[in-house]
This record gives sequence, C-alpha cells and structure tokens, in this order.
Amino acid sequence: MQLKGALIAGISAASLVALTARAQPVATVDARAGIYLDSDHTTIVTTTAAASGTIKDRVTISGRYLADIVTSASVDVVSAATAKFEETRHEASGSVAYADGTTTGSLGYVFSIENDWTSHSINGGASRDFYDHQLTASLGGSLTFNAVGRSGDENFARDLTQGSVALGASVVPSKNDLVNVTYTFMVLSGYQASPYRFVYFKSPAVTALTAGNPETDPEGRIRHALGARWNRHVFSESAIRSQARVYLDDWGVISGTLGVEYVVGFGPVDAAVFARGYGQRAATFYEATYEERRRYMTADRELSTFVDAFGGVRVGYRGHFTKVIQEFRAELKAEAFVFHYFDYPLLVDRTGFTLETGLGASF
Amino acid sequence: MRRPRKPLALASAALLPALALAPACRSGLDEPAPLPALDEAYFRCRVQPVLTKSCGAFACHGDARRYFHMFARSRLRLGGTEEQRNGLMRDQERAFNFDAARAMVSVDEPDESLLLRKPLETSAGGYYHGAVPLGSSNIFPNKDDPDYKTLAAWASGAKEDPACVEPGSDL
Repeated sequence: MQLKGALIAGISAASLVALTARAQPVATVDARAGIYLDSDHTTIVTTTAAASGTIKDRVTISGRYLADIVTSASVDVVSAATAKFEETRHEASGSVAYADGTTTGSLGYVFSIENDWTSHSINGGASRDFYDHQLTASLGGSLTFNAVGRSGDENFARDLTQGSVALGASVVPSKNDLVNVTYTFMVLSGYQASPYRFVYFKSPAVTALTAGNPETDPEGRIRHALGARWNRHVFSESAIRSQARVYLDDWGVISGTLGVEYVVGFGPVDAAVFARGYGQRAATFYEATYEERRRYMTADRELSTFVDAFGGVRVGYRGHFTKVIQEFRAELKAEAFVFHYFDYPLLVDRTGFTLETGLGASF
Repeated sequence: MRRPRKPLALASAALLPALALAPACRSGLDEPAPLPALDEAYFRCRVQPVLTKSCGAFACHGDARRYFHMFARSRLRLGGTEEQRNGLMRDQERAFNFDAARAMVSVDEPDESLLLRKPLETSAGGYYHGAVPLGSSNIFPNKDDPDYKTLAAWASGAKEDPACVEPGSDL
C-alpha cells in the first residue's frame, strides 16, 4: 500500500505543480472526509484538511493534514495470533510553488507516521510551456526515507529508501483536446517485505505438510510506468477524460490500466460518471504455496495476478458567494469496486465501496 | 486552421527512450533456498524438548493454524485418535518439526533468527511475541537462560551424537 501510494505521488508530482500554478485566489481552505469499506473486513475512515495562500499571484504556500483510521480483520493479517487491528496514520505535508504563467516550480515535504511506519519525503517539480502554451514539459521527482517497524516491537527496525523521477509532456493538439503523457521511473532499496506476513512451503521431509517461513522480498526494485491522459471536450458543456497506463518492474510485475470519465456541467454544478479497469501479472517469485523453499517468497496478494474494476459517480458544485468568499466548493463521490485474485486462495474476490465528500472555499 | 503537429511529434519522440528502458527481470528471483543444514540429532535430543515445553501448548504453537506450529506428545499430533495423543512421536512429526524450526533460523546471522528473537524478552533484544500478553514475561528473560542457550547453540551449528536418545522417547 505504501509503495503504491508513493508511486502515485511520484506520478502526480508534475501535475501537482501545474494545478498549484493555476491557483488565483489569495487563500483557499478545503476539508474532505471519506470512508472505505470492503468485504475483507477492512474499514478506513479518512479526513483531510488543507489550506493554501498565494502571494502576489506567483508563489503559493500550501499545507495539508490527513488522518487515516484503519480497522481491519483482513485475511492478509489475520492469523491464529492476530484477530483484528486498529491503527491511525497521520500525514502532514507542506509545499511552496511558483508559477508565472509559463514556468512553474515546486518543492514539498511530506511526513507520515503510524504505529509501524514512519516516512519523510521530499518532492519537487518544474514545468515550462512552449509553442504558445501548446506544449508543456514537466519534470518531477521525489525521495522518500521510510523506517519500517513492527507494531509493539521496539527492536524491529528496517529501512526502505525510494526515489522517483517523472517526466511529462502535455500537448494541445486541437482546441477540444488536451493530451498528457508521463513516464515515471522509481528505484526502491531496502526492506520491502511485511514483518507480519509469512508464506507456506512444502516441508521437504513431509511434503503433505506445509511449514511457515517469514516473507522474503528482494531488497532492490526498479519500476517503470508510462501513463497517458486524454481530455476531450464534447458537445457544449461536457468532456470525456480517458487514461491509460502501463507498468512493469524487475520483479516481473506487468500491469495495465484503462479508465474513462464523462463529465457534464450544469452551470455551477458538474456531474461525472467514471469507470476504471486494471489487470496485473504476478511477480515472478509469487506463489500461493511454494513447492520448495526459495530465497524470495511472498504471500502479498498485491504481487499476485489479479484484475479489478472501479466505477462510480461524482457531483461537484462551484459557486461564487460573496466578495470575501470568491468561491465555494462542494463535492460528493461514490465508488464501488471489485477485485478478482486468480491465485490467492485466502480471498478470491473482494468487493467494496468508498464514499467521499469535500467542502472548500477560496478567499 | 489546423494546428502544427510539431509539439505532438516532439512529445512522442521524447517517450521512446522510456520504452527502451523496459527492464528485464532481476536475476535469481526463483533461486531455491534449501533449509539450513543444522544438526538433526541436536534438534531431536535438545531443541525439541525445549520447544515442547515452552512453545507447543495448544493455545500457542501447538495450533496447526499457526505459521510456526509443531507436533509434540499430548499436544498437536499428525493424525491418530484422542487416545493416541500421548503416543510416541512419529518419524514424520519429528521430521516436520525439524523443518519448521529450521525455517525460522538465519544461518548467516543466527542471533537474528526468529526462533531466538521471538521468545526473547524485549529488554534483552527480543521481538514482539504474541505470548507476552498471556503472561508476565516472554519465554526467555535474557540470553543467559539455559534453554535460550540451547536454541542459540543449535542455530550456530552445534552438533550432538546421532545416537543420542531424546527425552520422552520411552527408550
């Protein structure tokens, strides 16, 4: 989960620069709340508060706080010794961004802490428009230092360092189209297994029985992702946003994502319906049960072969209120999903949904 | 008016190197890792009695649902009836226990072995152990504990006479 989140953050580093660069109001405040529920007995309640201020239309300083309260009795963590756990993750981030209409730059820091994981991350990005804003080239990167622990265990400590670089280009091939392509390269080094997770291998002496072994993942990993987004304006007040992404790494994982969203505006209200599909081939060393003991063994379902599909709706409102409150924003989003694991006997299917709501204002 | 194609062409060209970077899989991902070649006689005659006494209760590692579980007389057995539960250990049970325990040993760093650090008190360098909340302390209060030393010696390669007689063998 941490790794996936970091990769997404890396990919979005460049786009974050662009988004921040377009902030015109002097100050903004936003709050979001969401709940995630799935059939694997996991509930996550997320709350976020964010604020930003812009100085002289060029420099924006932002801050954000996020809290995840996780309650889980997932098959991934439950054993005879562990029935259920609850933990809270706190994340605080801050950034400073510059934008002058043609060039952007940003620098940010993220601190995240939970009972068995602490991370410090710095990220930066820059972009520049060319050809009368028809082409925007962007470069972003991040460096994260993680301290991996084990709940209730003061003597277990491992390190994981990850770095990423994202290179992006956005073009405007017509007045109705915007296309963005981003390539992300990520390197991880350190402890990437779970201290809670064990795998089973067939006992050499009694092959009818399986013995447990701590999960062992390689300490290095190189990841590549190539993503493309295409926003096309259709009819009078609507747009189709589509995305495609391919991913591969040197653990043998290959995946592809396809997504589409249709957004239609009704004055200050916009509504969207979206769907996304994902398919992944397992890491080379993943097996549900190992025939023999190996140097690398994992029982992480995120490294198994699986497909998932997400679909949902989103309704947003943006309205001008007063001279003081330049804009008031509200959003409601509902999403349902299904996962199907082809080689994870503990859980063949996982279904669930998320509900999110957000409120914000610009001054 | 048709817009110039130059930006799109430039962007496409810039992405070609990314495709060329597609990696091959890291080598050795499927490499076998045989269980540590530790001494079977030492395990049978010295380690197994410690595990039976300190680890094999039904509520602990005498539960087959545990990743690390083990067989012992009057405890978890490989088949048989309730009346046979206190019968002599079978060869398969001994052999499985030997494999299960070796999987928890790191031969490169014996002191880092889960077999040693999990039952060791935290103040002595041990890891979190689910047994602790059940009692007042972990299995081994420190590294001077005689049973800890037995496990540590085995993990470090100690050997025993193959003809040794295990306690509780009724021989």
